[in-house]
Amino acid sequence: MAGRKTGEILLKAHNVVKKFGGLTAVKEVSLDVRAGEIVGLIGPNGAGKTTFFNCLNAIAVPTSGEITFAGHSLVSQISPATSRLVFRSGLLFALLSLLWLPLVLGVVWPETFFRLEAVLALSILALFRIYLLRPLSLFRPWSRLLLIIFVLVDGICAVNWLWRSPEFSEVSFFNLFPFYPLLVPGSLLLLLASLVLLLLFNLPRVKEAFGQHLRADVITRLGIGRTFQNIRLFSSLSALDNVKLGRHCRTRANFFGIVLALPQARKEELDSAEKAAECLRFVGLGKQLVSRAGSLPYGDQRRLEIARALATEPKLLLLDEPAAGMNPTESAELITLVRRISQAGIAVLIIEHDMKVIMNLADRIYVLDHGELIASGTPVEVRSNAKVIEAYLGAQHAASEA
Amino acid sequence: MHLDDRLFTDKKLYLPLLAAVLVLPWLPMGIAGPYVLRVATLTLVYMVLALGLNVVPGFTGLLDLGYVGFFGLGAYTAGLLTVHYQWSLWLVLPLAALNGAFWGILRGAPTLRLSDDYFAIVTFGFSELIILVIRNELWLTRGPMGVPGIAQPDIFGKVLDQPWQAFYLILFFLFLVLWVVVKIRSSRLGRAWFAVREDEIAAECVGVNVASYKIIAFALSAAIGALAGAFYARWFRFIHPDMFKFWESILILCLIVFGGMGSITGALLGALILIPLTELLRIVLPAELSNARYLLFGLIIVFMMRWRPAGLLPVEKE
Amino acid sequence: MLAAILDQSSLFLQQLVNGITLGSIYALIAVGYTMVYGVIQLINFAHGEIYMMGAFLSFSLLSGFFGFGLPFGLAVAVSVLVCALAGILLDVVAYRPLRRAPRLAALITAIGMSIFLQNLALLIWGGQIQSFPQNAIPALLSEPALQLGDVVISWLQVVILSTAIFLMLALHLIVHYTRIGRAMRAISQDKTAASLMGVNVDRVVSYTFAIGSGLGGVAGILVGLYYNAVYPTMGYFAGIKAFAAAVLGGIGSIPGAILGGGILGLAEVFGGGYISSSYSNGIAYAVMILVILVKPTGLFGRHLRDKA
Repeated sequence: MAGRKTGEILLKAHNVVKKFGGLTAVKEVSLDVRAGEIVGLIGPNGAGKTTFFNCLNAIAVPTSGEITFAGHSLVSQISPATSRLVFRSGLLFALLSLLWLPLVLGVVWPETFFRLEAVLALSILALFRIYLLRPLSLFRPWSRLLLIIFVLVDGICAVNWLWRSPEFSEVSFFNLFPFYPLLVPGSLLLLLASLVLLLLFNLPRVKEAFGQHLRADVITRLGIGRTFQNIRLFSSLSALDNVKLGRHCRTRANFFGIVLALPQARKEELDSAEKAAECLRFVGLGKQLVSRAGSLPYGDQRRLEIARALATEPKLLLLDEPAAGMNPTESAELITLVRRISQAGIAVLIIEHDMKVIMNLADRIYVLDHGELIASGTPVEVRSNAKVIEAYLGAQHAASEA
Repeated sequence: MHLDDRLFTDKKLYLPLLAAVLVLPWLPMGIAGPYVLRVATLTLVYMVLALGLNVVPGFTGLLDLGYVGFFGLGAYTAGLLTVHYQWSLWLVLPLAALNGAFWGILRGAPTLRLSDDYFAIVTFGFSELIILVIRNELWLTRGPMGVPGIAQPDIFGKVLDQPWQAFYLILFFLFLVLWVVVKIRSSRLGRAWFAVREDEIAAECVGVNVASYKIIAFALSAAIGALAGAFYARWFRFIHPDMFKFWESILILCLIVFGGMGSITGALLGALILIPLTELLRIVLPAELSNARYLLFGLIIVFMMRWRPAGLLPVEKE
Repeated sequence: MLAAILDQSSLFLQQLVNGITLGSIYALIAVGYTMVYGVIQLINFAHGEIYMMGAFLSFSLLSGFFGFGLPFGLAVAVSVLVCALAGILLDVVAYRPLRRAPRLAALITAIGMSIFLQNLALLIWGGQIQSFPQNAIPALLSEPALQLGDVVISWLQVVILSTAIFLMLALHLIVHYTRIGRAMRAISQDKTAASLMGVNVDRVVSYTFAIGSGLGGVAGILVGLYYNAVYPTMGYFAGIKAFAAAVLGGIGSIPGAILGGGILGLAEVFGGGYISSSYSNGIAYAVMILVILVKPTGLFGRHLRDKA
């Protein structure tokens, strides 16, 4: 990993908004991070810094705005109108199945068809089917799975009708139901409709139009690693296992490889142990490999979290108050650690309250207050910005200098 | 080093284990005859069940209160296939396990976003529904009449009709399952489960696809349960809905609570101690009170949770 | 189609009455689940067993099982009181030591207690179905109070319904207009804040268990009289159904539990009568699972803690 000069834009957030009910935690924040840069994000408590971090790696879904990272769009761009359209077509589709289901049951259980209770029960079933289709409005991947299931159900019904027709004519239900001849073409039509919907949703162009909201684990694999303000280690696992978990997204062994102890899986396991140990040594925890993560001292836990994030081989590392609760010696160590991370070619976006740390480290600083971006620039520019002093530094800086 | 880590890796364990396996079942034969062998076989069945259940509450931290549903599902899948088609054990067993896995996934998929106690309730309701269907769909399962006359296990066309043969057969399956869970426990898959158990958000942030790893756990756990059920049906030769009541789920849960949730050797130890104890109580208590032996399991659960929540062989290092 | 329904209208009305009776009993039990969940976020699995104990205690006191008999009113009062005390004891012995432990530990303990109590009853009273001695309960209860054509409403049903309504009103008053009720609501909002404001959390939880268990005990007695059958596993099924009712109404919400109990009682009676009696238990499970999967907050429930 050779050191790189700050270069092309790695992360670009544009007008990111996050609302919780009536409260707007993040208001149209735009920010960019270039490769190899250390960028600071500061602001008083409750300014929305952590919420913004959560939006970056999909722990929270932004209400609106665009986030691109290394050429990938992280947030879906469904407009409300298209979302409504999809929802309505889904509803129509489900209503068709509402008409369909009692007929299906009529075959299996003819005498119940005109029983009020049966109709009621089937309506509930159909309502459930409508409910299941609700996620279509958000275009989640599993709505496609649902469609596959519906295709299967309708297909089975169609075949069932075709196959059962001769013997079925003897059942009294046939006399009660004059539209019987319509059932076979009807079921085939439904099947076709489900298939068309399924294919339509899988068209790349449709997918593109809808955009796709990436999950947190996918974003991690793309190269955003992070730590948390309130440390979130896997506290009953060993330090080494914690960091090995960081290797998770860079390894591929599956169930069968592991159970059959295939050479590839075994090599990968040894590899990730080695890389994990390397990461631990990098942050200075080389001697604590087997200690339980939860029993490590506070400062070590913070560094372990950084090691875990580094193990995911990030291009961008999000650090959420890494120096919180550290004494001056530890913060000084942290500063060198972050410098070394940066020298390894990893861009760093860092939230920090400790002004010494942030002024020392950051190439550029963004300042948030009440969810809004109030200033940005080099540490010197920010330090002398009147708005910033008013919102934040006035009280805090004096306190930390004292 | 925890005992779990030494399974299949520490060569010092091999010899005593092999000796125990070969000698132990024969020792009491002279004293108590086939009954003891029967209890030993049953214990092994429950060991498999305990290992299977352990995957969900122990590894992923989700409380499964309906494990017996998969045991029953496997038993009925195997029993009915055997009775109707006279298929070999080696065909029926994988089919039962696959069927178990299928329903495990089907049960698990909608519960992915539920909090832990709601998950527990759904698992409970689901297994009760399975048993209710088994009891009521006479055309398929013969309902309360049970399924009698299931063929005994076989291998290469030869029927295994000796009790000791069944014992070694289930022992083989136990080792198979043990191998699978031990290997997975120390792999990236097992670690992903532990991560989900400890902190789902952090797990996502290190790149674990929480949903799919939960699904794998559900499938594996259910498949092991169904496998045990399939063997049980072929061995016991009779299955009945009453064998798969809710209390059985709790008994299996009790095994892993006793041994230590998440601990593989703990699950084995739990079954090793508690199942023979159950059988002992069955003999000691008068027939109409034999069900009251579950009182003991209730007490064990309560006492373990109060004083040794991590079980006899806890996974965590103190 | 319409004629067939009209033909069945008297059956329908009778079922409606039976369903409401059953529903009011489920509501009484469901309230116990919901109150405890509201206050300490624990699914008290052993609640069904308290209900079973209510039935068994009143049966024993009336039939002289313990060597002495009591008059009807006194027997009922003593049973309810003992149930309330048993609820407190359950909390103090089993749950209180685990207040700070992981939620799963308390849940598992609750299941353990449920099994323990059920099998304790099995040991004491045996597994067979017991009936109340006819001479010990007021004869009036079994007489019809109202007869409309084929539809019969017995005095017992009237008593069950009015008791349930009375107790629910009393509960409403307790929760909304007394100190202890206020404390309960405070704890269910935020336990730490409540204790900082000087609320004695342990004592309020004890009261909650006492009230919930007392109501469960009443329900047990009423069901024992209604079906004239008392047996150790009765708490298991009733407990599950009541829990399903609580979930349906939104666990933690008392009006939700009442509504849920009513709906479930009706669903069971109509489902059992019209669709298939062998699946009448299944209706409760299915309702429970569907509600949890589709709308975990139930009809009235508030949003539970988020995962994030």
